Amino acid sequence: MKKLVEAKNLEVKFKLPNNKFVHALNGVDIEINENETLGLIGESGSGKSTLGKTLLGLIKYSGNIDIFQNELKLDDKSLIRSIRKDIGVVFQEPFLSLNPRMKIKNILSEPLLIHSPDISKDEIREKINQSVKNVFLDIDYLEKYPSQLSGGEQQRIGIARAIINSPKLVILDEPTSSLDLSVRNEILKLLKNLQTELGLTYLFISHDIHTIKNISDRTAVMYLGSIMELGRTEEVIESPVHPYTKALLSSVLSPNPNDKKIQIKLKGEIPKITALPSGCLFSSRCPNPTKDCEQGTTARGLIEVHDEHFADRCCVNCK
Amino acid sequence: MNKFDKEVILDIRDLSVNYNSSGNKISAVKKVSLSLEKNKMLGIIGETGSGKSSLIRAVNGLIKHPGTTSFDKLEILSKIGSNNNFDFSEMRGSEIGFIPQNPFGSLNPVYKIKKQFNFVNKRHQLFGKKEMGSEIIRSLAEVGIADPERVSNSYSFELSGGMAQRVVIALSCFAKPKLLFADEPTTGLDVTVERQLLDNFFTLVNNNDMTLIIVTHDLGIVAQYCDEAVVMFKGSIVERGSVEEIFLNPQDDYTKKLIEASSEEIS
Repeated sequence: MKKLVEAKNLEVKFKLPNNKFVHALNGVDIEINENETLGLIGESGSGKSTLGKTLLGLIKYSGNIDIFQNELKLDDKSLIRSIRKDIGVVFQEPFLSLNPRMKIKNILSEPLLIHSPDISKDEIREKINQSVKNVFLDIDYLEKYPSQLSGGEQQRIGIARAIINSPKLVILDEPTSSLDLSVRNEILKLLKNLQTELGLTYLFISHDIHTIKNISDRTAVMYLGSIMELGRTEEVIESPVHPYTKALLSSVLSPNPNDKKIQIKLKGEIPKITALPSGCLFSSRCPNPTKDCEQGTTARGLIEVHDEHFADRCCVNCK
Repeated sequence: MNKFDKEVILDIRDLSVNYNSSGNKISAVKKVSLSLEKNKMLGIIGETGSGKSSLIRAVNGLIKHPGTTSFDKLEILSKIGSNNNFDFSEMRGSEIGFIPQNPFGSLNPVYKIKKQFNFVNKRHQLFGKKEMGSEIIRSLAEVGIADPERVSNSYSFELSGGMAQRVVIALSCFAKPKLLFADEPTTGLDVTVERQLLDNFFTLVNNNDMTLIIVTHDLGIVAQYCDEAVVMFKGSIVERGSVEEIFLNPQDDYTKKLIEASSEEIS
């Protein structure tokens, strides 16, 4: 299996005006394999989007990122540019990520012009025609403005734009969370089709477990800027080992009235991301913390619990 | 069963809501009739633009010009309005309560939370000055706030989304309304927070003998917490029934599609 991305010990901090730091990522190790969908799930502020942006080279980080066999260096502008050609991004709010004053054809030709300035007009036409066909829209849509499209259609354009340069990796940051149920499923089907047809690799960010279950091959559960559990999606969802994953899954409300789940409640709230708990990141919520958690004597990072199923080293010892 | 055994708390006949935007008339709610018995929890589900929010806003008299509300009959807690007239002013707060979607949009950022409870008290004359302090704390604790003392002395912007929504629920229930409306009360909250808030909220509604109408696009909330469900599509009610009927044995085609979409496996 070819690795497209290999990130080690990623840390991202943002400085606030009051000299405190937002600890957005705290030691993330992650690999993305070619042609897979890696799901990132977690609650607000868990660092899912920050991780996506860091891989795009948009944020200063410490640690190490190998992407498409190159080491990501933020000051190497030409490297960044070539990496970005190979990464497509789809955003959460389809309307807000499309320029309202540009026609769809201009929205779609912009990434082509940026990454291949010498491209001919015929080639552009051919590529944008093909890209609207890929997302099952009519050629007539090219002459429209984003406001003339429904939310689902706008997101299709968002996807068409992301894949127009034939990227190796597509980062999908909550692409379906602002869409209605039926539209959401259409978009997920479309993404699956495109993946098989074009051999794409996805990093799929979502807070919705149902969506992640449907689309991801592997899933990483994030909490306070760190990965708590990682493994094949069925395994993480059917037999979670980390207490946070268990609590998260038990909170999801089933649309079947006979399927009553009792929520596993964690004590307290998610700590402020400006004041991380000392010791293990999960220590303030852990159901049975040991001395090790509070003092943080166990090294951070993941440990393999089953075949290709990883969980936080400290929390595995607690349960 | 004798029909007089049940107390009807809300009865709507042929209610419509229209919006006029630059010459275009949009019918958001089309001649909807609905009635509800006391102590029931009713969930209204539907997708964007189905008219679910417009319906409950109209029942609270919250549709503003250039939108218009019309109905043949509106009966809330045995107060009857007809010919499109209903006087809400004496009912708000003490008889009917409304919980909007975005808590920060309904809390005043320049007053501390306790002050906003005082406004409710002033309007409804519920408690004396001496009791107010402990009543605020009690009411905040009732919605599951662990440190009510701190929250009552905070401004809304100092609170997390989940906390702020709890405060809004406490405020809406402070004057003990008998019929409560909630418009997507947990949208935008994280699942673990949402679940705890809903547990607290539904316990509060039960303990205080309230009747609830909740509007949501989250089928899980209705399936797990409500007694009855109404499905809306393009401004009309397409199906109504007990939660078991709607979720386990839907009859209408649109309802079937909606329920399927919520549990569909995509391959």
